Amino acid sequence: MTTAPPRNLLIMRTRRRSRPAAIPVYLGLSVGLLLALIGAAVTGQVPLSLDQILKALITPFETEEGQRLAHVVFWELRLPRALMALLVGAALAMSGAALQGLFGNPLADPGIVGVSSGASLGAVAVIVLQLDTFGLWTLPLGAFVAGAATTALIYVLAVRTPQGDNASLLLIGIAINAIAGAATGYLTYLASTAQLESLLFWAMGSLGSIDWRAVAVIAPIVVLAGWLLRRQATPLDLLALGERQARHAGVDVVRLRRNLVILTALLTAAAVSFTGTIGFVGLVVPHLIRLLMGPGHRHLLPLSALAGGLLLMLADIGARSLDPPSEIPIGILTATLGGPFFLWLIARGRGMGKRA
Amino acid sequence: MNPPSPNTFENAVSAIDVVSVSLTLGGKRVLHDIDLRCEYGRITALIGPNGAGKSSLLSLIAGDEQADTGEVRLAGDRLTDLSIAELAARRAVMPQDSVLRFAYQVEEVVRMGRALRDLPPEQDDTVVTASLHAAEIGHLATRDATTLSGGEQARTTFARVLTQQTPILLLDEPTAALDLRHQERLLKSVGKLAQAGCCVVVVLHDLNLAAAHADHLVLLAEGKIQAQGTPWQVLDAERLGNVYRQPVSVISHPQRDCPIVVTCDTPSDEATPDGITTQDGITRAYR
Repeated sequence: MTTAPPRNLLIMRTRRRSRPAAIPVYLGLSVGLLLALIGAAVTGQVPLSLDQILKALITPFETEEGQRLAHVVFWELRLPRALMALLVGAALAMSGAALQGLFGNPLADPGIVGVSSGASLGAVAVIVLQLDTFGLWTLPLGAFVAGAATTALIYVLAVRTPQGDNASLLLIGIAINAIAGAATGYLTYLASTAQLESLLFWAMGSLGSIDWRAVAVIAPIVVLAGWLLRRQATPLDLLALGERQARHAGVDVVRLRRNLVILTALLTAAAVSFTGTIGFVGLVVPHLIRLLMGPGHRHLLPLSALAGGLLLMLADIGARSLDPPSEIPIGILTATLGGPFFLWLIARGRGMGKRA
Repeated sequence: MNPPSPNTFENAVSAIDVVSVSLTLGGKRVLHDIDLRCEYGRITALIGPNGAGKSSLLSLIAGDEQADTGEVRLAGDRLTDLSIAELAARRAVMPQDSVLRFAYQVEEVVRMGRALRDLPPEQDDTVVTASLHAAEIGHLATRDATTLSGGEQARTTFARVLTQQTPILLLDEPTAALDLRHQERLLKSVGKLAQAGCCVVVVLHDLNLAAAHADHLVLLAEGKIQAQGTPWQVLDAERLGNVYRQPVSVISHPQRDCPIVVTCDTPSDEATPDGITTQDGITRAYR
């Protein structure tokens, strides 16, 4: 076999074209987010015109007569809700991308380290045991704390196994998830009919009860944890070589694993604490971005955040407008879209695994 | 030839210093009281039959395993005192099998070698291109690295190890998946690194490759060093016959100044009955 240097050089020069340039993708997703934001503002039971929204935007603190309803609907209902969709979608998609990288498994999602089942248990416990220590904040707080605590338990147990590796984390995660599921089931069994309604609502996910306070609590967590997660991009890339080879190249695998578990637990717990469980965003979005941009985490993490936010904003518009005046739980919508999409990915041949 | 006594060169700092190291893996003692020095500017080849402890010794030096007794020093510092980042700055490791869990491109994989090194980033492109060229995978730069053949994978891993730019290279059977040309190419580029002052330790199964390319051979069997020295000193027909339990002849290379080991018939082959059980517990039928 001979490889003439000129041919080599030619290929070296053209190699950068093989992956799409990142900037247009960032721009495209940003424009998409802006359009989705406008879409979220104009759709709903009270029709708003672009003109009304513009007026509300220009004068956030004063309202002229006749503009009052539009003002309240935009500022108090639709904008915080759309922003929450953006934050939750971004948090879930980023967590999914990071955990898939950590486990080297494209099927990993934020549920794998127990946040979702723990948060469900916390929420169900608050509802069924009628806790109201912190008033309206009891439910999200209970979900957040239980989600984070479940992850911490899984991590501590996994570290104490003889291997202390990713496989232990995965196996103990499965066991603890099952236990949390059983406890949730037991509490559900005890619940009254009225409580069951709330439970169902939480289990299917909804952005219906979002206000500015919720956004104000979640936004700093998502931004900070997301920024810290993005800083792990290079070690996450190297982890694709396997734990041992990553360590040879300078990755402190134990520390990386701890950081990733903490950050993704934080992101996911924050995301689901106010909105309930919303599935498939964390699973599907990173796949799409990998198909488009390759597996490098430098772009995968931020682009997953943008695309996850966009997807959830669109899903929420759908949830609000498909069956007016009632709202379809958003978790049902994401699962309806995500399931078939995932099947399509699998049908693409090796789409699921290494290619994706 | 006896290993140089550690006391002889107490002042000189060797690249790798293995001092009376024993290692137990899975309840089995795989290395017994090993003393070994590997110097800069040399290729040291670890040779020996299957299960001799070659790869165990290499992963011990790499820092993957903890010795039961004794210690390993890299450039004078105890392995256990070095951080993961400091280790990555001193030694690069080419494993026997390479894993890749997502569809990174060949060039992206090669780049990973120096991603966490504190090397000047403006040299990244030059070094990556040179490494791709050295491993003859320039034409594969944009290929999905999960779709490569075994030999292409090994060359990609080799290129990645090169980009790490460490003074110590630990290679575990780097040529196992390669064809003749690429075996030669790989060991030649390793030789250039040694000439430039690197310390290279390489596990080789092929005695003739070891004889042709290594400066120093270390013959291991049953977890002990049986002999070490130059190829001519170590590759002795009688010694190899005993260690490998296979009669060999050692002849001279027609062009290079190095020995060649060829296998010979076992004197008792004709007398061997059908289905004997060898010492490995493997039953073979001779017909």
